[in-house]
Amino acid sequence: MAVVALIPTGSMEHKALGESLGRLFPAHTFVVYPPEQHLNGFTSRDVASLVASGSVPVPTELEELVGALVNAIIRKKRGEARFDFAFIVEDLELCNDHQPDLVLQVFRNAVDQYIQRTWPLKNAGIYGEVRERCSFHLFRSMTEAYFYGEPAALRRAGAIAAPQLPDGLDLERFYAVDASFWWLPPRTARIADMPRRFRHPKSCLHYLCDPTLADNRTRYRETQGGVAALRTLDWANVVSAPPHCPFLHALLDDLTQALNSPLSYVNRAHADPRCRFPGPKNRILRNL
Amino acid sequence: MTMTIETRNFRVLRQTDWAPVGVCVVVGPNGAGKTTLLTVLEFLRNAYNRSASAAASFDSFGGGWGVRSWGSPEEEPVTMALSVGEVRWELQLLVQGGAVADQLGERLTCGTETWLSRLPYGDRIVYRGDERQGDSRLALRTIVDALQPPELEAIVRVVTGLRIHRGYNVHGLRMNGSRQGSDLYLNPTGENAFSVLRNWRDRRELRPQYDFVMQGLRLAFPEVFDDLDFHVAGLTITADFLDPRFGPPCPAALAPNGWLTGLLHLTAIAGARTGTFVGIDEFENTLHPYAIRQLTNVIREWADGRDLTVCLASHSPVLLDEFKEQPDRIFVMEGENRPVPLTELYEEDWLARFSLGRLYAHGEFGGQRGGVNKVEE
Repeated sequence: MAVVALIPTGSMEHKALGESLGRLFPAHTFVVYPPEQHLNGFTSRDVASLVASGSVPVPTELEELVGALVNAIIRKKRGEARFDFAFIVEDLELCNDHQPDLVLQVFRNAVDQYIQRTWPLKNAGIYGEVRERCSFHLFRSMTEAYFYGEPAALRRAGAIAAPQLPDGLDLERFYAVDASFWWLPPRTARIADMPRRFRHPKSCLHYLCDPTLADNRTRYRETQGGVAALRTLDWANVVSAPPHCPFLHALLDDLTQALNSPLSYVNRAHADPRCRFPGPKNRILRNL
Repeated sequence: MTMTIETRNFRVLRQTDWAPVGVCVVVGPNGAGKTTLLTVLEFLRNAYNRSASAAASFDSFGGGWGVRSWGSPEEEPVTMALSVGEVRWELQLLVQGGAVADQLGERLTCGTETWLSRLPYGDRIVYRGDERQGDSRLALRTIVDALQPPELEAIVRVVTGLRIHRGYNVHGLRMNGSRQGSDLYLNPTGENAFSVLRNWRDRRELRPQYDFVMQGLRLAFPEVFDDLDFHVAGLTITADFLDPRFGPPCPAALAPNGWLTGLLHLTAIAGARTGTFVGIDEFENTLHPYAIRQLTNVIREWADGRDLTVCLASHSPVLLDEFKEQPDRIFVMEGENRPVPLTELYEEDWLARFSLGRLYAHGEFGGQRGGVNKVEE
């Protein structure tokens, strides 16, 4: 039985992703890490404009995330079980949707720099551990995109209306075709403005939960409706339709390999080659 | 509710033009004026309810000594102003013989129109062209008492609804309980908390407030708090904290400071009227980081639903990190015109890369003046 440290970067994922993935691998244990509070991600802004870390004596959110990943498998607190694997799951976000390669590269480089800086000497062992036991994966463009792969998940999230989506939609290239959603006025609370709006799964979910966008009682809340949707998400259904959510597939495939627990609906061929296990020969992480 | 607080030459607040919104936090070095900011609001409410001299005699205000900012020109008045929407109410403080005088200058405007005025040292009040005799009460109070003008309802509601909490008497509450009464909102020191909570619990229309406090405590102190039980002995109400793990309840006399502080914060917020302002100084005292986060989230949810403005004066990096998505709700006591929104000091794009708590702890904003974290250019 393996113990997997799951490091999500949002409050909803912190509360529910461990339980949700744990249902797929019942023989193993998923532990959300750090336990009390999620770390923040680094993809809420265009990663191409990331500032150099040397400009202020404070680690960036990216560096904190890297540190959490590496130390999840290096550090051992007395009396606690050691983590066998550590996985980060980060939203790609729409602002970086055009450049997943860059996001993956930025993270990979950050891990490399972190190890060099933290263990400038005798780091071969650290690199070896990280290469075998740490992974970084993306949800594209965000966790809520996957809710649309299971109608019941949307209802658990609080949706009172059905989404209007194109046939054969690739959830990881989400877009809604609901004209009344498109034409809501700009700077409307809770939802992104056009042109990004129609590609924003969370904005659409806000609209489906409360078309008036004014009712505080029924609005979509990540830590309530989002948690309810994610906790029992039917992952098999989500990845069933072509092209089978390549980034999500990469995560699931990586987990099946790490835990030696195959899932019938997970096929390595469907996983995005940029982040599937094993990564390239010079990989720093399991998959990068 | 849009509100703005202004000061000129009042103690360390040489110039303030502050528009707090929603749940916000004020940070800055010791002595920069975080508490003084709350004192301004407290003074406005107490002066309205009683008189300027009475408000200044409160311990929390400290009398007439040191009212004027050090180094400010004598010819410049010491003023405080509160705006609610278009209506602006301004007081010009006068100090006579070491005490704040009742006959201070007072003016109320709506847009460019002056509705109410009283000259410094004067005893005549002019309200919309009509003149009347003033007394020790503020002119605004005099007019409201006499005429109940509907156009002043909004600003009076905000003034009378101001709630400032600058130091709970946790020890007193723990050892002495609360005096039984019909209180429906928390007093500044929190000593009536048990009475307030029991009154809410027992009144159907106020039960949601009680439920909010209980739910907030369960979230902030999971696995160790379940409910409260009240006991009445004579005129005193005490409470037991019910822990789901153990049979015997924990009397308040033995309860951890953090539980009582959490209870007081939630009670302070729950008792605030819709559309008003609550200020809490040193919010994080005695609270574990987990409790700080949970309390902030539940307070935010409650405040959003009731158009409350809640200002948390703090030094806590943990609290600051809870404003990651709302850096414009962080106000920093820096510069000439303070406080200033953090987003006016740094670009949001840059701030998004860091833990705001870490930046603060390292003095990137709100740092101690001349400290080692400041690098001279």
